[in-house]
Amino acid sequence: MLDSAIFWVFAILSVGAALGAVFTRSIIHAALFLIVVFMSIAGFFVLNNADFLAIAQIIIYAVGLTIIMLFAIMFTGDKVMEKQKVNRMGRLAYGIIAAYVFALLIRAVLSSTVNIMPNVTSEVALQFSTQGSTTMLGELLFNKYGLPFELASLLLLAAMIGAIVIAKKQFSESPSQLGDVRLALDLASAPPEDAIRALRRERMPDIAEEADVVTNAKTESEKASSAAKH
Amino acid sequence: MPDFITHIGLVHYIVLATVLFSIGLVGVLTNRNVVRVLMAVELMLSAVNINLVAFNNYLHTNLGLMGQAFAIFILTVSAAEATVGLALVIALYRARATADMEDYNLLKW
Repeated sequence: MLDSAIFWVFAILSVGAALGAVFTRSIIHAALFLIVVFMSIAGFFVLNNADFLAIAQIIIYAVGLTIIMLFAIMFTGDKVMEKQKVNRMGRLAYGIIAAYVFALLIRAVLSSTVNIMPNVTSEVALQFSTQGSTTMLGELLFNKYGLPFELASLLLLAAMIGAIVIAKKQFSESPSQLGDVRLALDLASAPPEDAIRALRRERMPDIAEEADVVTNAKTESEKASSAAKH
Repeated sequence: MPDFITHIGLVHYIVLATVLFSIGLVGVLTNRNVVRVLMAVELMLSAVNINLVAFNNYLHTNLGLMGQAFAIFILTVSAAEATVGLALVIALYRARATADMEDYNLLKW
């Protein structure tokens, strides 16, 4: 009796919060609704003798994931939602598609030939409900599913490195920056006038030619005047 | 009180998971913000986890905790997926300065 009451409370909470998460206007509110959904799903796990999974659900989903979601929301800003135009026809079509999928799934559930009546009276289930199932789950994970377990850790490592590489700012060695380094090395070893000329050629190529012409003309005239003096 | 309210069976959990899955599907299809679509995907994955755990509890208890083990693997994969997905969202936002999926149309013919 108590179990069923708890189930219905969590069921109403989760479905209501899921609807809120999908249909609310503000993204921040959607993320907060999502926390409620994940918490009530953890409640279902407890009702099904999955203690470890319930805590893992709270730590990974309800706390970790939503915090990352909130970070992403802060990075991308939530102003986009307010000004977007809602395509009503498109929404209706998508709603019909989702309702159709829902009807198919429900029909499959209700017409299934599997015996879906509860048999929680089995000895193992009773043992789980009194002693918890974490010990057995750990034995299963480290013996029978040892290799998948290690592969999962590898996947997490790859995802972590991948996320850092993808989201990090690009301090790449772009051609212009490499050119800058080369230019600086050249300038350090060249005499000042040549250095200035090279820099000008690099930074403003169209003006540099005129400047070169002017300086050449100047040196020519200087030469000519000194020759005339002699 | 009717029997289906006072006695919670496997059907209740399956139907509930189906409802949550469908709500997530609606969210994936109708939302245009990338972060919200990722949220809806996470909702769908959680709904699948409810199924696994409930089946494990009601049908295969004598065979051990296979369902819970698979639920843990799904949890791991979805965490990895969300991390990479959100990193992609941030990189996309940096490149295109928007989080609206309709604006990501460089590959659209």
